[in-house]
Amino acid sequence: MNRPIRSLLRVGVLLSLTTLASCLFHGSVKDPGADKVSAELSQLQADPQLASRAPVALKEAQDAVAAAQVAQKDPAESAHLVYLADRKVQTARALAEARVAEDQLKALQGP
Amino acid sequence: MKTHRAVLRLSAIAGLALCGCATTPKTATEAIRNASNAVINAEDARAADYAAAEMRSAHEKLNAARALAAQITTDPNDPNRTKARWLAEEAAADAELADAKARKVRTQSVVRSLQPAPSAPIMPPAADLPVAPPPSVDLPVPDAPAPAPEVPAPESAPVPAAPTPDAPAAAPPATGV
Repeated sequence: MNRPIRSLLRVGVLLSLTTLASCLFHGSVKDPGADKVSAELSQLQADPQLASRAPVALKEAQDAVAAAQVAQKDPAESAHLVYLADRKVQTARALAEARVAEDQLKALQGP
Repeated sequence: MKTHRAVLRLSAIAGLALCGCATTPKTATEAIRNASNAVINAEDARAADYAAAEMRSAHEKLNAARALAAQITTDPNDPNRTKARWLAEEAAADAELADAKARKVRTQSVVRSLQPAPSAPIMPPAADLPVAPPPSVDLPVPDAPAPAPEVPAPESAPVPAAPTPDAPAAAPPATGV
């Protein structure tokens, strides 16, 4: 086995473990609303009529939900991240529903 | 060899991803500018007509963020710095939601206005006329299959004995005019 590769591997594993440890052990908490907003996002993603209608807004919602899932040291920051995630998920849903309505409108107005 | 390289790459990616939880790059000033733009966009779309609560929240939070930002000291650890940024971020999210809701509700109401009335699923009115433009004309038609009706006064005397039970909702406004 190549020695430099083995030492690099060791450094990589060590780095990720220490980062994980620092995140886990500085007394951080996750807001109880984080799981609820994550479930709302899953519901939107599972809706065949809406899931693909607003891709950019949906990506923003996914990122915001992922951020809200990370435990924070300050509970106020957790609450803030959950608030943002909730708004982003609702925005993605509203935009997707708007696109559905726009398609219906086009169909009604005809070719 | 190959697997080790893959493990190395994975652990590096994991390390980088976890480092992400420590970064908060945006400044309060930048966040307030974003929020202000989002509120202006939503106002341009008349979002308050359709999502009043979200717009009110956006305005209140943006004002609070500005007020806090005005009190920020030169201390880089001033808590007002973070609070102002959070408020501005929430204001922007509120305004964007209001904008999206307005767009949805407005389009849905146009769709509803163009769709044929759900109370008249029977064919006759659709058969003689184009559906949308004259919705009140279908009152005298049902009992007159021939092109020339005997009674030549359609709007003044829609004799109450004549109408069939299929259009009870349309009768009152027609007689009123």
